[in-house]
Amino acid sequence: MHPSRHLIGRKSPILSQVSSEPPDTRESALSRGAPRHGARTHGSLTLSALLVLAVLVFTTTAARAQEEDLDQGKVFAIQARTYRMNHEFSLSVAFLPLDAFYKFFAVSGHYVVHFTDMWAWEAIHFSFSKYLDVDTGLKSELSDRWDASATDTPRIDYFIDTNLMLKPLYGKMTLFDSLVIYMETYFILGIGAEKFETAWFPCGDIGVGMRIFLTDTLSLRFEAREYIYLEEGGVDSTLYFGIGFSYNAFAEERPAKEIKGVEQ
Amino acid sequence: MKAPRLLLLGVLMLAAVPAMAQDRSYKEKSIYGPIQRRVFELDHEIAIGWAYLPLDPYTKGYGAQLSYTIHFNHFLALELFRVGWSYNFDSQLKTKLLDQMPDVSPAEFPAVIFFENTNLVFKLLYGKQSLFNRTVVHFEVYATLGGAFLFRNPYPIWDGDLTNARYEFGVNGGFGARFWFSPRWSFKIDLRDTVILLCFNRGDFPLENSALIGLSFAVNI
Repeated sequence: MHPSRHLIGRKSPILSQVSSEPPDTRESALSRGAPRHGARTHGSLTLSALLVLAVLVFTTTAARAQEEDLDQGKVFAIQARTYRMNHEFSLSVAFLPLDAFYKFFAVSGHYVVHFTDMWAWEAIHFSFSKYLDVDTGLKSELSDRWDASATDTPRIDYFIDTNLMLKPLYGKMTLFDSLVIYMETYFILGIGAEKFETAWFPCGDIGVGMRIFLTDTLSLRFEAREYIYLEEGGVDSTLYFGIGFSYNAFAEERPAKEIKGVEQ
Repeated sequence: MKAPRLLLLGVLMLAAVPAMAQDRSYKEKSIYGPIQRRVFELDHEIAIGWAYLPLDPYTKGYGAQLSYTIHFNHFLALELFRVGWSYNFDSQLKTKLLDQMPDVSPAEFPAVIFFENTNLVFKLLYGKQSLFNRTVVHFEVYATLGGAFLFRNPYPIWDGDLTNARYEFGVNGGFGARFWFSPRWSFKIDLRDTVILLCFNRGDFPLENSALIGLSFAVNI
């Protein structure tokens, strides 16, 4: 199947506008059929009765067929992707909640090259969280309750990583059944490094995100990532929740592909 | 000859009426354009799954949860109860404290053992996505808001030591996503946070967070 093709509405009881036979066509088909039978007005009562029977059978069959199409979802739509990404520049804010001593906020920048509708490469993701931390009060608690001072609590300064991005899910959703929102879900896998106050640590990261398309060039990204880094004497991790705006540069170079006979 | 003609005309008109009505209803539906009738409706839902409680600096909780939800319509549901149990592992910080500080007692670290939530569920978004352009996945996104009761104790319940137990109340909020496998079965991802406001048996106001990440399978009964 062509990568830009997108299945929508299989098994759906109601046909979407984009794929179904237009209602007018159906109406005209029905109205074409009726006069053809109705035009035969001469003949015996028996013939008329047979005609009536034939028309009834025809009409009922047509209606049933239409109903079956609607209820059993025999017709399904193939839509071209309305939004396609090309060169993506993003700016996002992030929250890193899992450190016991500090909750970090971060400002992030991303550049992503989208090769196809399915694959992309986040060439660079840089997050800066130095000075953007909030003390949880745990140090004070340790000091007040047990007269203990925590010494080994380095803060995250920034981290940088590069990721492969897989975008297997594309679709649309409705907000309160009134507004259609196009979106895609993506997964990332990559490598990078985290810079703490004390040292750099190599890391790998996995993540999942959702993009909501606002226009051809603007989209909103929500994502969660887990950075697993090697530190002295073990492995630790940083959980990252981000939300950001993306600009799709050179969007005109990757327009929505037209599929013959299918509207977008 | 007039009678058969009239009869024929009458029958034709009668036969045409249902088809026209069907066409009209089709058009009425089509005014929503690409918004389709929801394929998967929910009535009474039971969900069972896994829970992870990561925020306590002294313990990390892994457990199970069970919930029952009544769905009123497409937008609103009541999670009548969501009960869970957590098995807690000591964090490095707690281990260090216990090892290095002789006057620190394990009894000073109450952790969530049982919890119960009752929430309103606001089902904001419903949609479908194509997976690898081959399979359609239906999903919804929802937000929750409600109350929570927690039982916190420093020791596992089977130790029988409830001397330092805490019975607490808090407010609970969060959001989640549901993915349908079939009209009956679905998979849910939840992110919830409880702000503990009051401890009944101690009379204090701890103002602590207890977040939960949950994965569960749900069946519509």
